[in-house]
Amino acid sequence: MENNHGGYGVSLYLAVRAIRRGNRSTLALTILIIALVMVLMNFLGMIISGVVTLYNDQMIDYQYGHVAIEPRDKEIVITDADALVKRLKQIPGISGVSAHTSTAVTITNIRNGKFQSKSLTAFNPEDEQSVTKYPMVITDGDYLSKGDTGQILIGTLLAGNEDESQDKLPSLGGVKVGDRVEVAYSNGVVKTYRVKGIYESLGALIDSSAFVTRNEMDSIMHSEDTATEILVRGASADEAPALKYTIMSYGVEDKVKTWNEKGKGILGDAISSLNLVKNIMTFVSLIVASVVVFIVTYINIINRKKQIGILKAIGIRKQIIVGSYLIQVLFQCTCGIVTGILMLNGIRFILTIQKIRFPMGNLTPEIEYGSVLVSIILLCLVSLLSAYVPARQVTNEEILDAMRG
Amino acid sequence: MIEVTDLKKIYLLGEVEVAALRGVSLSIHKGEFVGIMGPSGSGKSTLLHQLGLLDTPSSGKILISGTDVSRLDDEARTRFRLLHLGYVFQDYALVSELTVKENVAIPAIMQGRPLDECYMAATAVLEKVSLLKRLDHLVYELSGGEQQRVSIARALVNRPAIVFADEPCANLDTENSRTVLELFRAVNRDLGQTVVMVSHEPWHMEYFDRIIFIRDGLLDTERMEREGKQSR
Repeated sequence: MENNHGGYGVSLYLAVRAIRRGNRSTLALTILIIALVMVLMNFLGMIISGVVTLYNDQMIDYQYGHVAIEPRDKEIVITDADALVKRLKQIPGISGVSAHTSTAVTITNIRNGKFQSKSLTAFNPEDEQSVTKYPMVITDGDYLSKGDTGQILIGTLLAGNEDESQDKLPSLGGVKVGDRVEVAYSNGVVKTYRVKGIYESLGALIDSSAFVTRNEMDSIMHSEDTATEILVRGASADEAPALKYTIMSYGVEDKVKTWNEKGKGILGDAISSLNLVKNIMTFVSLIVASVVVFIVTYINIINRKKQIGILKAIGIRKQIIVGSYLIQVLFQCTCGIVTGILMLNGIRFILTIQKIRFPMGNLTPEIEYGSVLVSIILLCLVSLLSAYVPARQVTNEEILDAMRG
Repeated sequence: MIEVTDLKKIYLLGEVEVAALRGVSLSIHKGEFVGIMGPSGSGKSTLLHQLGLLDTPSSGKILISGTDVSRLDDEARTRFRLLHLGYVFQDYALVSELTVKENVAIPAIMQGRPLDECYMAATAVLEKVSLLKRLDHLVYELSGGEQQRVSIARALVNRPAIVFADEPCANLDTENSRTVLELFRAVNRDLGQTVVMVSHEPWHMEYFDRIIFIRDGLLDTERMEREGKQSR
């Protein structure tokens, strides 16, 4: 009567029936707890990803483009900027180039006398719209035109409100389109400008800036053919490093930096700290999952101790019995993980509608599927281990002891 | 078929040693229907547990069909139980999450036989114990007598060489007890399977070919002689 000894198919056979005919409430509760652990493990990561994406988008769309060219060491400006812009526009893979000239100014609202010291930036409006998104975020009035002189574009936070209590940052106290502001340049020139447009990117730093055309700035500061920064737009953010080296290979001797190199110092520390918190939360969540699965499995196994004894008595191997419990836990884990992912998507959906406001703008949480995969693997491993320990412990008991319950 | 030599089983209760079996030697032949009887605490269940490989002896030797089962490791004992032994328990010992048919089929499934074949075998045995109408019921939906018949069917499904029964009628009324004993008698007579049953009911004696009496962990030879059904 030799045999081929039924293997883990018997584990599956027993597990399926235990799940189908076992205690539904306990099963549902365990699945819910695993789902919540899954949410806990990924929620903060989802927010951090959203913050990073938002911050990156703001940097690219309003501050640096994909690549920014700065004056070489010990230089204040990029000289021969017009020629460099022309050369850059001819490099394959570049879709837009815009030279910026920035200078420190004091802007005063003539109507109420309120003033703010700011950096005023000049650009060529046509070039700029191929690199940044300012033309798309005009909330009042119009975007600048190439020949504009005596006109200024102001961010909504700098423009501010007549009621100061509504301001989020120091402002000019309620400047509107058509109002006149006085700009005092560092060379002593003071000129009055008409506010042509007001823009709102939702980024706090960006919306407290002001812009004029390069023609206007050149007429005051005599900055012809120079730039303090040249922004370049390529095909995509991911290709910025390649674009940087392409630009350098064309003999550009000024400093060439990707958007990431320009911006990493500002939020980098905050992101590192948030990631630390996220890792701590993940660790705590895993312990919670581990303890819950252990307790549930332990109680389940203790309640079925007698049945384990019976199964052993009729010739079912320990490994098969342990296997059946591991399959049950794996099933609970799978259901919990799927429920958790659905909950995460639900939370993301809710937070997409009920937006979270950050200084850089409205945050859209992003599910990082790489991290989710790591969570799934960790959760499964921890759950299996937590189930294995009590299952092994009880199946190692003597048959008669187990059968006594 | 079964040869037992100087079998001892000593339990430790705290620091006190309790000898449940104190040197039992006996033989059981193929095709016999043997009863093990004796007063409560005499060691009859302990003997059955040793013979059925549910427990390990402290010393002594048990040979079953020529295999020294007292030397087998845990894995080999489990395998031996599955392939050669059937077991019927006093409290039925059925798996509550399985149906009647599944409970009976599980030892066959464990042998790696196709599921359909296992279910067919289970159904055939359940027909013998008159439970065809209960195939898909969960065990708690059955009466005690029915549950014990399921337990018997499970013990028989792999056609084991020996069936051990530990007071299978203890929780049954007389009518159900008689049905169960008739079943064992039929199994023994028709299929030639060796049946070893522990009982304390004197009226069960009429069903056994031979009775082994146990008293204080030893064979009660005096009583065996007196009853006229001596084993040696």
